[in-house]
Amino acid sequence: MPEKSFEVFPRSPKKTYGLMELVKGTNPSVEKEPEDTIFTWPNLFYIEFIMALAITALLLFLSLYVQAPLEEEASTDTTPNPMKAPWYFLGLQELLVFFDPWIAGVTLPVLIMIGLMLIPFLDVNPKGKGYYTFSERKFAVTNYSFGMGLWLVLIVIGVWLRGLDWNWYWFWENGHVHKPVVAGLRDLPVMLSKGLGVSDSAGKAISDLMLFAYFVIGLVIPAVLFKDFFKRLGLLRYVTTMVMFLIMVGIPIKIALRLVFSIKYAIITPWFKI
Amino acid sequence: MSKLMNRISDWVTSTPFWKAVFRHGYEDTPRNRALTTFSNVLYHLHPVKTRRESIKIRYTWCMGGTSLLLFVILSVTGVLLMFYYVPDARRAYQDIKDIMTVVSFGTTFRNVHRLAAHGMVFTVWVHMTRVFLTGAYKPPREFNWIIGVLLLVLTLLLSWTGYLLPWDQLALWAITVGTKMAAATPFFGVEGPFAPELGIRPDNDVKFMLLGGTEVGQNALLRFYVLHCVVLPLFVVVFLAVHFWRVRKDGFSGPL
Amino acid sequence: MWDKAGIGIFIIVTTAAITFAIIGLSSFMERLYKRKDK
Repeated sequence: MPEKSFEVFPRSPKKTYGLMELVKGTNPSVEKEPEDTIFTWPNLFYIEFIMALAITALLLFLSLYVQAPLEEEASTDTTPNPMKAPWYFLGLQELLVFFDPWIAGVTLPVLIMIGLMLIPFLDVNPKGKGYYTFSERKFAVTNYSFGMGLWLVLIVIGVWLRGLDWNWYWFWENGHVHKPVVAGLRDLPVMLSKGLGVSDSAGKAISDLMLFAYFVIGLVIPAVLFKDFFKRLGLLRYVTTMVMFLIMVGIPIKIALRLVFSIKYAIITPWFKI
Repeated sequence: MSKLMNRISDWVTSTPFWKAVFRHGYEDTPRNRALTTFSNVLYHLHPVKTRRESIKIRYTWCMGGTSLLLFVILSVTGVLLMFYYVPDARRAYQDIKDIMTVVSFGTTFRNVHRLAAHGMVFTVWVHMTRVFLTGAYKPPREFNWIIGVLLLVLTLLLSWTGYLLPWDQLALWAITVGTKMAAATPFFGVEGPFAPELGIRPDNDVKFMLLGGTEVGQNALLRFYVLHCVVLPLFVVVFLAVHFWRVRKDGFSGPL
Repeated sequence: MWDKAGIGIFIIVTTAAITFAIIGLSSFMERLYKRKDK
């Protein structure tokens, strides 16, 4: 028996759209229901419009009072003292005090970028998707906040507390007076071999062992203490998360070593020093 | 008087020319609301209907949109500045001085450009924090988060390349510090670890590639100018397109 | 010596302040939404 055929999408002169995709469900949103949606016109657009007007007005108003800096013409003869990078890079420049350029300038920024990109793959907590919560995702928010805290404190120091010769100047100190050079930085392996009365290579071995122990203890202890954390993440995720975490925490530790024990390098190899 | 105005406007809006350009009216029906969004090239980047939370500044802080707005403002003021600036080390500094003194509204445009640049770094960072705190990177939105991190890096690079262009002391030495760090890259920089083993010399390492030479000079200025005005903005536009596309496809996050 | 202690205290206090500020922000937003839902 011949079936009655009909056009599923009848052509009409008023129609300017066509079929874009065929999905099972009621709207293109993934895992979301269509309730509680509102028309973008006018609701969203008028908010965007007002924000655009407000921010443009604010920018124009501020530009009357905040002048873009322009110092003297570039000259390779004189170096400004102190020589400061733009504020968003001052965190890195401050790190240069405590680490060699290849770490502070390249390795750590790359690790930060990779670490950020890995966050969605390391965070297996299903809670907190699409709403604000702290109580349901304490580990994630605390880690992120701590990372931000470290990054921002370095910027704060670089902007306001570093003066001539990159010395530390408190807010109340005169920034135009040079400070005396403080000598006396030593390396951890040398400290160990002198302090313990052993050979140089033994001192190196002990400091390498300390680094190794730091990572081993840092990896093993949380796995033992927080077994379900370890189980939920699985081995690969756990190791990645903890290694990143240990590196991040290692930075204030190295800063503390410098401040408290005047240690310049903790690990010395023929190719690089940390 | 108003009757005459009404008759004129009625006639204008019934001409074929008007109807060709503006295809629908302003009647407040759901169908017309959908048509407004659907038939406009800029509006139709948005979905016709969106979740209720997306208009709550309390939820979004409007930081992503502000970053985009700042990028557009930077592009517009940047192009205006480009009319008066030549990336020649012998005249770049004087060009900036001319913009600040002789060009009409030059100071305003330069100030807006620089405020928007720093502002954009800030708003992008706040946007990232908001997305993190609302968990809007969790599956299925992981890829968009990665695109976002790349956009953050591009924003920082745009800001940094622009920093050199005024060719003043601040510019020259800030870039010198930055490229010194690049020279310390492991494997690729002449002053980094493993450089001697890999045959990296001052004239073939990554710093040389960045500067077009061994020091910050004319070559560096031109390279940074091209990067700042052409290459990096193109990358940003492409990544922004993917970023918005993913928000459309995965749906705006926000509770049920 | 006291100078170094001052530097250390400043770093610890500022880092803690920023960290807890962001945590507090997250917690505040959570409470804000809970109050709205009630």
